[in-house]
Amino acid sequence: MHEMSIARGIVSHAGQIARRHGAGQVRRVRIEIGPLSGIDGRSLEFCFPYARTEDELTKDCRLEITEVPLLLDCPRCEKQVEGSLTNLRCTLCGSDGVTVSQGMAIQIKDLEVI
Amino acid sequence: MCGQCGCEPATTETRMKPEAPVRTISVEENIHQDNDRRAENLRRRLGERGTLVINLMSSPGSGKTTLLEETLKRSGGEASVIVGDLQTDQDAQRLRPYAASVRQINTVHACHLDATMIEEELQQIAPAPLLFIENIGNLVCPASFDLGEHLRVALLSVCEGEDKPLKYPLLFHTADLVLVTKSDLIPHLDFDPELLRVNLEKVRPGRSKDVLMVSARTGEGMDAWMSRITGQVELIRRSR
Repeated sequence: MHEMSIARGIVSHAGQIARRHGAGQVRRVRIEIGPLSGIDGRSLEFCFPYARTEDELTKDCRLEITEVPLLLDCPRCEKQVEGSLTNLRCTLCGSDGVTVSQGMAIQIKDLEVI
Repeated sequence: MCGQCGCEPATTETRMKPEAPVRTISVEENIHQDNDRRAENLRRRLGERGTLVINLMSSPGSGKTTLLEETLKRSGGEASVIVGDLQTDQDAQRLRPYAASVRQINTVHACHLDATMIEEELQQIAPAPLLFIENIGNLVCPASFDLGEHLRVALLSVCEGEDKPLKYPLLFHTADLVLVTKSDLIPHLDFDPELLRVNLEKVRPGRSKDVLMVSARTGEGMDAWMSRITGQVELIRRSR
């Protein structure tokens, strides 16, 4: 369970970006997680309010999580397929040479600021 | 000042202040990017000075420290160790007689090590051809944090069950090598090596050869493990 440290990371990262853009307040942080992100969305939501600090920029910001599917790039088919955690092969040709193209990162998509 | 109550008059700015417009800043950044950048620097820096970094990850009690003791005895004192635990320095004490230097990290509550912790400890570590990092015993969180290792090793003891790769796919998927430890216990258990192989193949397809059965207690498989390390050390030396 490292959702608390991830939540703190999101808050501090959002604050830095907002400051760089001269924003006054972050209203919402939108992130994407996937099956191989190693994180549980509901635990992250639970931790998020406790991760906010007194920093005026982020003290009221909300977290919006979008869960994205696991996508695999297959060099043999030259296609992108939706993968399963318990069988990381191409679902079309069975190739084991696939690379994970989505679903492994914890990605900050955008910030809504005023 | 206001002639009636003495208050400061409102400035033009505050009186006329319009509602601040809402805007969206597009970011598209991975939350781990700071850790990943630090890890990449460590990997490059340590590689250039000829140090192979091995990150050992597993659940608690799978035999990381015992494997390390036996590995260090066979490394001729040419290895340093950073060991992570929530509490105590018992592992560091066990490993100290066999290593060039040992640093214990106590994370207290945190469930994993990160690249910043390794950067800090490195200042206290004597340069050696090998640096082992014994991660916190946990099959979940350590998998998400690159520590700058050249070789990422997952340990799975035969007592834990063949289903662990399916239950914790990220850790087994990202490992370069899987060590199946405590192999000397197989005769006493219902452990099925073929079922483990099938399950590992699902989360690391095409990489079933990167699995070694070892027993630090009897020495089974230790030669294969040591030659894997020696081979990697050579690779690092040659790429300098």
